[in-house]
Amino acid sequence: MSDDLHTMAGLYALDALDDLEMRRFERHLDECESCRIEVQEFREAAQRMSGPSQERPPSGLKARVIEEVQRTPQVHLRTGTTGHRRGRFVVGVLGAAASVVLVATLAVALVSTRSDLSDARALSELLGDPRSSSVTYRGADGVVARLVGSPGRDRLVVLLGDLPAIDSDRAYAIWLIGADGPKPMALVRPDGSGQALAVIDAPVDQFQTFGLTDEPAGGSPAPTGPIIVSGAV
Amino acid sequence: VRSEQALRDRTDRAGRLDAPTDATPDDPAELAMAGAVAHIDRGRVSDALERLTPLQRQAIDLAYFGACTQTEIAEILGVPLGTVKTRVRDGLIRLRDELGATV
Repeated sequence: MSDDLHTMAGLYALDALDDLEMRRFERHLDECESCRIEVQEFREAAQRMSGPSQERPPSGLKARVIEEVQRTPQVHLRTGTTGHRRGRFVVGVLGAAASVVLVATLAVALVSTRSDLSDARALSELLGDPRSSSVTYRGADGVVARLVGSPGRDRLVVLLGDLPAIDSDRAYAIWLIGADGPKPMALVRPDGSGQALAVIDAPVDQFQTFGLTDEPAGGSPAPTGPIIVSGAV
Repeated sequence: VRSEQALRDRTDRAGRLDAPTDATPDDPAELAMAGAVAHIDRGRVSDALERLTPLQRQAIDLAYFGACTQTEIAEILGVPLGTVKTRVRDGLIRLRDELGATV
């Protein structure tokens, strides 16, 4: 009987017991400390399943993010040959850990150098939304591009890292490429640490590929420079 | 009706990101940091969910996201109530351990 009651802790924590069993289990909870603890732990775990919580992020986690962010300038994401300056397509998709550091770094660096609240808000909402999708690509030059797509696929946030500095009359162009060819979506310039952010409002599903090229600062109707990094959207 | 209420309660509990409580709403750096932290946590949660067995995952999905009662879950899955209890609890134990180890 007692074993049977203990096994109800999971369903109870998820509010899935029938009323009769719930009352039985609640009587049991009054006298069973280990079940009370278990229910509390299960509820905390369950709450994290549903995405961003109203409560503060765990302090340890936040401290670690900050630590990683501070450490990042020494982290080199490129691993392969860097002999080719440009022109190679995607080298690979980064592991989760590197992406996490990249996102945290970019998020902090970008918004601390510009005070564009709407970009920050879009970024924050997208990154925190459990339904958003994300992928990271690395170009031959070590340039890193992280794409975060909104749940409705009508917005794409492009975070770029390790961008080489460029002349003042040049800019990096972000393209989305679909059946009708490449469409220019945004022009960005890297900040002092080689990072840039673009929030693109476009029907992402109409495109298959994203690409980044080096273009005149005023933009180009079609890509003229070699592709620095690209990947599926 | 009970399920709908439970789902509403869960949604309330889960809250909304557009008002992270540890950031002043007008501070872009804090907003973005909150987003990044949430993003990382989401990655950990999906990693942890990946480590559940498919049967545990199924039962938890029905109970939590589907707001089903134990009886409904047992009917949907065609397994005895005792099995539902064990699967959900074992799954939550794994989830708790995976998440607890990383924070």
